[in-house]
Amino acid sequence: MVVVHSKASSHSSSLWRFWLLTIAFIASMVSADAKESEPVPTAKLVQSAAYKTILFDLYTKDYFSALVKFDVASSRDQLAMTPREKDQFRAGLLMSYGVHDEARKLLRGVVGGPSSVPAMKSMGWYYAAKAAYRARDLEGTWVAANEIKDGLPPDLAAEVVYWKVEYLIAIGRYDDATRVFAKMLKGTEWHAYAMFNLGVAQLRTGQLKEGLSNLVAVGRPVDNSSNMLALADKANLTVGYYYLRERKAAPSIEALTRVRLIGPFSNKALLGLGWAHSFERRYAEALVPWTELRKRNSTDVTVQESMLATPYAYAQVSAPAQAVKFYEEALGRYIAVQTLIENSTEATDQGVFFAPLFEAPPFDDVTLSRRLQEQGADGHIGLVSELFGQEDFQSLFRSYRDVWRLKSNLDEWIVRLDILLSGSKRVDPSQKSGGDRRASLVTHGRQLKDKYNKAVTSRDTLVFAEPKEVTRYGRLALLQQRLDHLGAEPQSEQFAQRLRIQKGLLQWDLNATFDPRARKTGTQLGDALAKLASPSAKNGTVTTTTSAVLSSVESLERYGVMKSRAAALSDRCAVLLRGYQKLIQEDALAELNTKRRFATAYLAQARYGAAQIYDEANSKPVPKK
Amino acid sequence: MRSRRILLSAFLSLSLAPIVSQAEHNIDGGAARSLDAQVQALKKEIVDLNKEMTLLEEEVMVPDATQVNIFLSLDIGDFFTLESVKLKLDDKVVASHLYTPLESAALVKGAVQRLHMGSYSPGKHDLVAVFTGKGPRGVDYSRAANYTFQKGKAPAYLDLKVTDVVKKLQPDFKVSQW
Repeated sequence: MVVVHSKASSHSSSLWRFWLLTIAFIASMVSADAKESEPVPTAKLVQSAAYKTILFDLYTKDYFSALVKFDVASSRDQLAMTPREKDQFRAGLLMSYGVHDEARKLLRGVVGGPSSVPAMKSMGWYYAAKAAYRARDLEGTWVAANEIKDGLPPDLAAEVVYWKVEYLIAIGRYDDATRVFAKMLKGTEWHAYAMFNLGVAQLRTGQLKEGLSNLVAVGRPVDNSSNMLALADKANLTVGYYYLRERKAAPSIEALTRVRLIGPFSNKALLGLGWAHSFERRYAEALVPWTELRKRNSTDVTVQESMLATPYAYAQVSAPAQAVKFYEEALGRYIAVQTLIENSTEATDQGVFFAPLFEAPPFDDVTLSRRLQEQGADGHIGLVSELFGQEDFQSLFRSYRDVWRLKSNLDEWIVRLDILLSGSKRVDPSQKSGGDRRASLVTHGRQLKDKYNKAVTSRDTLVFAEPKEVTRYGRLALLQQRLDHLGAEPQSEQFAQRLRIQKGLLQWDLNATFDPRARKTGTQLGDALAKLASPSAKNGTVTTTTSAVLSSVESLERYGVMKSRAAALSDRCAVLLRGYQKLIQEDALAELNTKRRFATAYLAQARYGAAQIYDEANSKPVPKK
Repeated sequence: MRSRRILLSAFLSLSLAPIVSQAEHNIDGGAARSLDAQVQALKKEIVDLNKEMTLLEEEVMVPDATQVNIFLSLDIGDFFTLESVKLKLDDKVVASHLYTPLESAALVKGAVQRLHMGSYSPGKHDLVAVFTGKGPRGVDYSRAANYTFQKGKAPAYLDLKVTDVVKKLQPDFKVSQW
């Protein structure tokens, strides 16, 4: 598969366009309704508020909360949408949150049936194509993209053509890709990205004229946005290195001088420029970019190579003393890089390097990127900066962060459920006790009696604890978890000691009050069950007190089930987090290994180059006096 | 001449560098995909669980009979940029929020924020909302809105709305009960 450039950064913006259209469509339906009914009934206002609070999370990009609110509102029948609109909206939320597989399942239903609004149907197919593309299913993308008829705004339509071109390139149908590309709307970013991908594919398959023409065009951007300038740098670098391999200095220099002196491609461009000049034996000109490059961070492989190329150029212009000086300087810097690599490898291997990010990953992508940069403040960053800049690596870290947040959410819920358990004892369920619920209440009452007996037998102190005690117990358990996760930090032991004392004191109180509390609860339960068996209850009248006690049983059961589910899911999160940590560390170690190989090779070459100059100097005959 | 050969080999290693690096950088695709599938399944399950837990929590802690909901919305927002809001109910601070630019923009776009949901007994209650932000011409602006409402047996819904009064070139702060 020839996927050269993945326009990942643009996914969110095009998805956003889709959202605006969907929201505008739903808003038009809602306002149409509103005109017909005046004044607006409370139920409608509640529906509108439920929908707009979901929009609040959506606009602030908190997709998880938006999804939960959507599902809660949906189960309360608070959303004024047709089932199809609901599915489409939910699919959008799922996709924004990265649950592509489920989104695709929903969208199949949305786009499969008849739709009264063609534009919505097109958007449904667009969405299905996007979900497939995000799942890296190019064939599925192609199938869905071909179902889109019209009604999409130009930007989204251009994106659809981009997917088609990418699919055709992937299956080797370059001529078809060129034909589809020719019909693409010019001037969009999608057009530029498709042109770049097509150009690289053509270059690789020997269609040199077409490939170079496309790449040269991308290298001269009309739009000066940062995305387009970065793509232009990439295109110019590709063209420059193509000519460099062909030993054609002039066109190589022309392309490489177009690459900006800042940015991720500048180092490679400077190195290539030096080589292009040296092919023409213009060593003095070659020294200009190489001298600039060798001043940069020596953990970069291109900088390391310039440290070797600079003395080589001096030797060619008959300046052996300068050459030796730069070889020796290079030797020192290579050794320093090797030391750094070893230290970084050890820190990564032992989990120290990534520990701060694993323990508290930043929530937004910009901060994540900055934290990764800061992480390397002691020199590590240069060694892994290329890796950190890769979309795949950042995506791994984003997934790690998502799971970390899910685990935090579950751990917090476990504490809240404990509070809920205690809160359920205070509920006034008079609003819910309509109708004859006696039979179910009797069943629940028996279950409660069983639970009570078990709690007494096993001396489960928490069952009879006060709300504040349950909350405190949950918080202490959370702190213990975090402490276990921290491992052997210097202050951990001191903190663990304080935690043990707190837990001990709480347990002491719970043990001391267990018997009287159990007796009191037993009496209340016995009274409630007796009242249920009374003639008035049999006639359908259940007193508030009895109902309150038994209603709490319902909550208690649901609480128990949910707490078990939350705990099980939290454990699964922990397993996944370890999986991600392993992948991230392995990837960093592989990068460091590559760097080690380069540094070792360059060190040997620098030693050899310096020795050679000494040899040549020694072999010259000593002039006679 | 020998020196030239050495440098040629160095150049070749450079030429190969992107290829080698690419191979090394490739994350274990199978492992990453497997993790991704697991994460997707997990996210779905946790969303479902969160829905159920939210329903349970609201049912138990804030049943309909005692439920009070307070929403915040903005209309236009030309004369006021919201920075923070503090909510007092019966003289007790029940909610406060500092707004990020993204959140302010969300409100301007028509989104609504649920500021508070709590459990209150039927009867009369006093609400005070204090808004701070930037008023006309970017000056610091702080305004309070007071409202007394009657809580019945049904859930209560209150809407705090910041609107632009074009005639006065000033923002207005209204509270209404649905």
